[in-house]
Amino acid sequence: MNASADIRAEPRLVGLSAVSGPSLSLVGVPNCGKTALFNRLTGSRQKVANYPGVTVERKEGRFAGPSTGRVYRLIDLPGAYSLEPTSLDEAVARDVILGRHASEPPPDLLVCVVDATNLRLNLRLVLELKRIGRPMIVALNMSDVAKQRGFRLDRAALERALGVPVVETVAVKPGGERALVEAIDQYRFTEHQTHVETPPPATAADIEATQREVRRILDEIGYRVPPRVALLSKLDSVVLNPIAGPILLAIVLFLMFQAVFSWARVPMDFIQDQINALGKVIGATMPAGPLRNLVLNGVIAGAGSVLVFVPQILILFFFILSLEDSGYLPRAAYMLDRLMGKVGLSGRAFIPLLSSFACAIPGVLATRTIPSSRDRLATIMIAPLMTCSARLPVYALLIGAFIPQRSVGIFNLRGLVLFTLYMAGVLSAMGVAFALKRTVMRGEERPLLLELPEYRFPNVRNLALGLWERLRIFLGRVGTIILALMVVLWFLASFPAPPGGATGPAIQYSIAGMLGRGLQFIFAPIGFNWQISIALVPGLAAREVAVSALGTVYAMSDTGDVAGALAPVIARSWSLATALSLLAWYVFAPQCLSTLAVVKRETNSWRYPLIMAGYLFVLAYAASFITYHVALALGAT
Amino acid sequence: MRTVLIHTRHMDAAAAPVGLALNPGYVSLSTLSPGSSGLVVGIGMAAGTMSSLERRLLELGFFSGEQFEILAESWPGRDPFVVRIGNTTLALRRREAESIWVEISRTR
Repeated sequence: MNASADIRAEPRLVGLSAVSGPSLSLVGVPNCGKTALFNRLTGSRQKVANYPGVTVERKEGRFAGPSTGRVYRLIDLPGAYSLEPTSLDEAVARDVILGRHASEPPPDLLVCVVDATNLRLNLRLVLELKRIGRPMIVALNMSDVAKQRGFRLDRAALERALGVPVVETVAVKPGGERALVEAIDQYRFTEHQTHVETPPPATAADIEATQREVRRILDEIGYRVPPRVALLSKLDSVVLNPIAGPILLAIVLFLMFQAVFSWARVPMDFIQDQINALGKVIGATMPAGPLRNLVLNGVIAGAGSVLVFVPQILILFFFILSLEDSGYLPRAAYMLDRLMGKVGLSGRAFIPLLSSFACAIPGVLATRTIPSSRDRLATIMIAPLMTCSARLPVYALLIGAFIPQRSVGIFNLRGLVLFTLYMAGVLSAMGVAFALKRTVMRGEERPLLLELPEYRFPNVRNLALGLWERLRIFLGRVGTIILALMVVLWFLASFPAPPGGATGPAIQYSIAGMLGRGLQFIFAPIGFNWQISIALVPGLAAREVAVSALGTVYAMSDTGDVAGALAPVIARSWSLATALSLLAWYVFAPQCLSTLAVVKRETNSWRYPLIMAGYLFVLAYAASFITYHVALALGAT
Repeated sequence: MRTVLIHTRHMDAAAAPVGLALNPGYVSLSTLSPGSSGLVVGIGMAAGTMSSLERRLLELGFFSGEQFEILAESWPGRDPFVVRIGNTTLALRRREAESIWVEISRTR
């Protein structure tokens, strides 16, 4: 390889900026442990982005070969059962493998990851890939689990039968990638090719011939499948039970939302204390003036009030990632298929919708596994109704300020209110989906056909990497968009300065104050004061910004300039009806530009993001209007 | 060879497996209940054409001689249901399983 000379100079440099050596692609059927192996090979040296034009996640990482010092560029392709795609994910994998992808040259080496506990399914893809004649190594993954469960596995025999190098890997154990790394490092790379022969489309007879070949190979190498582990069968007899299964699902989801509130309390209090302490230190040491004002009221009050929600967001993602890793999510999708079918959605929509509880953007991205474009579009349209973690700060703030900490039976009242808000989102999503599928998105039903992978214990390392990735994204937002907006807002809220002899707080005379009062004409009927109205504007960039904007607005309205806790301030100055109305607003909350931008890119038109923003605004306004007036009528002042 | 049609709720004579004479023992997978197991006979498709669903079913292992077992079905409506084919567990709707022809060795 001609690049190896350059790399030898700094063999340990494996950052993303390192000169690139041979390119490798991980391919394999979904659930074969491909991504765990990718994490094992590249550690945290990975870059997650999208393929241009489509929102299929593109994961790239690098690692160095121990003996040659070559730096390998590794791409984790989306899982695919076959080179004949039935989803966007599989289409991207096929295009890259066959060198048809516009921006991704064909890899120098395919690393085909196979699940040793299900060679029957996995080898068919290996044979299909072998037929296109690209350099290939087979990674016999989960070889430890296979041996534990009593599979008869003969690596050397499989290597002889397939005629390509086969190595055993254990993606979830340290060192489990060693044999693969060595095999890659010893691989004699040939000249980089850009042209790949495209095989003719397989006929039914071809597929059957391949399947017979798989059976022949399995017989030849003496691969024996033991009876299914009794424990797994027992687990499935409960999880898939028509009565117990749905009850279990409801319990799991309910626990998840309770945990978000109860487990997060201690770390949240801790972070709040640190922020307060920092504010005090800066207040005491910096000379008074506009700069101190900016740091205290803009940066600390603004960014600080969002940072507090890191524990809750991590707990939510912890649950979603663990459920995903354990194999439970597809089973939930199976159970909900009929229910979701009633509103015209496929059970497959469950996984993107559950991801949308974390953030609508990964949710929209996850719709790529839905084969039907109409189902996919309908799922995208309702994804923002799932309460995303960015709304959590708003809910948490308002619930913390207005709902008493009390037990209702065995439940926590605050947790119960939060659950109700989440349910309101889900139910309205169902309503919208029903309306869409009855009107503009009518179409024929598409197959469910979903693999239910074997259960496994979520891997701590993969969980940690996943959480770290989310934390980095969230903190990145706090550090960039949110911080910048807070500084802008602080500026708008500070200038022009109040005229001499003014009696009200300074912000009333500023640009922000004027803007807020202007917007109040629109929002007064639903009970929002001018502070809320102004906070909704920067909240367009990201929903959680509304909280930091409120933090800034109130910090600027107060006479003191210490960045204090926001909750007691709004508890004093808002009516309960206003708080409930704002909660109702945030169930729909149209303002999230990033989601709209992703939808625009995903659907390739302005039509759907505009419809989405429009319908969300109408629903939000109507819900807040009703909530506010009903609450007032019931005496919630 | 005998050609007998068994009349089941989901059966469609046109979807009989190509090249396979209908045998009284063959039924469509879509009619079975949890606990049933046996061997796959084949996918019934009109000669020369293969839908993408049928292709995928073949690729996932629904072809002649594979072991299957129905593991579960949801309630109400018994649909979708869960079938184990070879060593793979799949959830699918009854309608999607109509063209899969099987020979039952055990029922419940």
